[in-house]
Order: sequence, then C-alpha cells, then structure tokens
Amino acid sequence: MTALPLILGIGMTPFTGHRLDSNLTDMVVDAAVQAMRDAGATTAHVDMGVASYESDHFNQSMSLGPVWNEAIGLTGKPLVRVEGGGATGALALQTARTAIMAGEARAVLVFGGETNGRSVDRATATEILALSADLDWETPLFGSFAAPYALMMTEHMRCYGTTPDQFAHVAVKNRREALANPMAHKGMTISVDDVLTSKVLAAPYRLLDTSLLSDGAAAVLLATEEWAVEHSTTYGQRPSVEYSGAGSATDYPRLADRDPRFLAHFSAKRTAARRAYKMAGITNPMSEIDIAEVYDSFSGAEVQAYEDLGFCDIGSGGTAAVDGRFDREGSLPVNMSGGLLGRGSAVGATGIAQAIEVVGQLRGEVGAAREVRGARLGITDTHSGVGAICAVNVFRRAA
Amino acid sequence: MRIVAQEPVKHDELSNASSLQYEMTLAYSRTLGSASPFFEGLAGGVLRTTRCTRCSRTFFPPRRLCPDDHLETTWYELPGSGTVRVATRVYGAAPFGGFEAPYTLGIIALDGVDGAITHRILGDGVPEAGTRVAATFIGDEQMHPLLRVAFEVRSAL
Ligand SMILES: [Zn+2]
Repeated sequence: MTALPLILGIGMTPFTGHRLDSNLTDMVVDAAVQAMRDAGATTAHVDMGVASYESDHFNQSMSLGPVWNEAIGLTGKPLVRVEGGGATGALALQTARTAIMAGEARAVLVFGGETNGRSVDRATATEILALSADLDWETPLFGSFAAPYALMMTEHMRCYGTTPDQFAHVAVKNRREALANPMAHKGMTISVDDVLTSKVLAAPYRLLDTSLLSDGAAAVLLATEEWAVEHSTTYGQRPSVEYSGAGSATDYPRLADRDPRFLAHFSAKRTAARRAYKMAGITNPMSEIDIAEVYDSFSGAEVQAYEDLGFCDIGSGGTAAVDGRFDREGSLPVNMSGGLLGRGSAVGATGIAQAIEVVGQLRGEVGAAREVRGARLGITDTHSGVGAICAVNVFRRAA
Repeated sequence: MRIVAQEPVKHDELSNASSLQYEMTLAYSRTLGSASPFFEGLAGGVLRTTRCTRCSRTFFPPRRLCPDDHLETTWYELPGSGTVRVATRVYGAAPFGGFEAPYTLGIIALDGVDGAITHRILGDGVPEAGTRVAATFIGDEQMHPLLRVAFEVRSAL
C-alpha cells in the first residue's frame, strides 16, 4: 500500500462570468457533492474539512467555512479555512495533505470557491484586488495588478530579449484550449495579432494578456489507501492518482524589496517547485513531467513559470512558448484546461480546479478533445500577488 | 448596509433565482503606525528612513525594529536621489487618484539606504535601467501621503 494520500474524488462547477442561478454556497455544495459521488463515499466517513476562499469582500461574508461545512454534512468535524491569495486552493490541498501525512485524519474534503465575476462592478473589483498589494507603500501607485506584473515582464524582456508576440502565444493557446473544456469561462479563437492590438493596460501587457475573473467552485476528496479500500466504492475501478509532492515558499511581497538580480523571476516558485519535486522524487522536471497547470494570471507569467518550474532553461521561456513544446502536441502540454486566461479564475477554487484537471488527465477521463495521452505525472502551480506565496503540487498515476 | 433593489432574475428555463442589490459603504480610520514620520517627512519635502543603532543596517521602507537586533531604530534623512532598476508605462488609473493615467512607474534604488521604492517617474518617457533620478515634492492636493513625492530624471550629472 502507498503511504501517500490518494485523490479519490473530484468535482467542480463551470467557471462563469456571473452565476445568477446559484449563490456561492450552492456552487460549493455542488462541487463537494460531485467529489463525494466521484469517490463513491459519504461525508459521514470524512474526518476533516478544509474551506478555501480568498476574499471576504467579493463574497460579502466572513467565515463561510462553517456554512459550507454544514451544508455538506460535515458539522462536528474539524474545519479550517485556508487563505493565501492566488495560491489559496493549492495551499488548501497542501493543508489537507499534511493532516493525512501526520496521521491526524484519514480522509479530508477540500472545498472552495469565489464570486470574482460580477458580484461587484468591475471598478470595485479592481479596487478590492488592488488591496492585495501593500496599501501604504504600493496600492496608491498601482492602477491594477497589471502594473507590478508589467514591471517584472519588462525586466524579463530586458534580460533575455523576450518579446510581446512570444507571450501572446500563451494568450492564444490557453483561450483555444478552453474551447474544448465545458467547465471553462470563455474559450476564444484569437490570433497573436488580436492580442498585440488589444488595449494596453501596463506595457507590455494588453487586455488579452490578462486572465478572467470568474464565479465558480471546486472540491477534492483526499484519503489514505486504507480508507479508500474501506469507504470508496469507486476505488480500484479506474487509475488511482497519488498526491506525490507538495511545496510552497514565500518571497518579499513588494517587488522593490526583492533581489534586483532576480526581478524577472518568481524566485519563490523555484523554491516551491524544488521542494515539491524533491518530495515526489522528480529529478528532471523537463523530461519527467507529462502535464502541468500553471498560474497564467498574465500571459507572460506563464512564460516566467516555464523557467522557474524548470520546464526550460532560464531566459528561454519566450522562444519555448512559440516552439510548441507546451501545446497539446508538445512534450509538456501546459494549461490544457484553458488556464486562468481561458477556464478563468474563481480564486478559492482555482488551485483546486487545476488539480482536478491534472487528475482528470491522469485518469484519462477528460475526453478526447483535450486529452493528453499517456500522461502519468502532472503538476499544478499557483501564486499570490506577484509571487509572494508560491505553491506547487505533484500528482502521479499510481497504476 | 442597505438593500437598494430586489428583483427576481430569470436566468434560464431551469432557474428562477432572485437577487438582491446591497449597498455598503466602508469608512476606515487607518493609522500609518511607526512609519508615520516617513509620511510626515514627505509633506515637509524630506525623504527619510531608519537605521539600526547597533549594527548600522539601513532599511527601506523604514522599520521600527532591526530584525537582527530587535532594537528601536533611529531616523535619518536620505539625499533623495536614486537609480532606476526597471520602469514601465501604466495606462490604468491609480485607485486613490492624485495623478492622471498614463504614467511611468519604476522601481528606484535609493541612495543612502540599502533599499528601493516603487514610485512614479514624471514625464512621458520610460527611463532605462541605470537612469539617475531625484525626488521632487508635490503640493498638498494629493489623496494619499505617499503621492506627495515623485521622481524626476536627472538630465546631466
Ligand atoms: Zn541591527
């Protein structure tokens, strides 16, 4: 028997611009119930809940965890809410993993969501999101998060000669892949030219380089193999997926405080990836990893992630984006869900939805339209702010 | 908090959910805390920060305590000059207002301290890395005290 937690159940709602027929609790319940059905198990046997959401502002409530917990039949069990900006969902999974690895729980249900879509108008959304920067030292100067991302990418262009048409390929690829994902917020057929002629937000980033704000929820059930044998009726009927590695790390939240030699990079992402890879026994990420869901909050952030996650050499992310190795037919397909650019982002659900895509791919369940054949090892990557908290998770098909 | 509108929303054939429109205004009283002398300095045309009295380490943004010695730091004045690390042009409006978009935003390594500030560089251009800049102080019309300083490119030195 493996000592690692298994991913036994996955469930999510579609990500949309504004979900009018369901509120956030409805969506989280839908996702959680799907995850339990997928596992063929009941919440009576689950030991603990982990609630995942970022913002009390968007959801107009504090302490939603117990509300969701109650609605899915977990009242009485331990519950913790996890928050880590854009990394929230990935950190929620890591929290659950830790509880299982420590022997404190045998089965943990992770559930989360966000109403980033249209619960507030776009100007208010921008104002709330700007609070993710340092209110005393940065927010008064940032029109939006495009500004600090743009400073990092400007530095990447200076250091390595990366060009806007190179990262525009990511914007095109992820929106194209979203067309094949029924859970996606907005797939689109666009060209590099469309990206390069869209409105400039903060040079070099333009409107079509930026990701979506979505409503949505997602849930994952993790458990030991022993628990699976006892309580999961679907266990053994399909490929089993292990949660092989988890790594996280932090960086200075303010760009100005960071080592100027590494301004073009997410340094904490490198550390988080190294930790996760070591735990999972990955020595050559470029050749070993079959599929990845990467935090493409901006198109160029995916290019930077290729480098910081060890998918290509430092400085070569731009040319790698164009040469096709991260496309569906490439050696390491990235963001086959559509990523944040196409599937969208409902923050508390995003990192969980990434895991769901990878697990679905490893099981061979996503359907021919976006399946990456033979994938055995996949990772997810998320970060908060401009990389202040980075979290990488590794999943492996066990058999 | 008050409810300003209430309407049933016919989303699709399967759903007949209702929505409420809330209006909620939040007024915060937010202290600038131990960094207050920095912001007061900007109002008086002075850029200042702190250094440790034991190890002489300097900090920007100013710190009240040295993280190594856990001792109270002391304030000193900076010359106001610095060097651009990276800069770009931003087209979105800043949330507190006080200046118009587009504007140039840069990370500036400050002389006299081991630290840098992310701030506005006046003018339409985007200075390259290594460009020398100097602080200039702006009148009292700004919304946020941080915006009472900006940086200007030094043409010749
Ligand atoms: Zn000291």
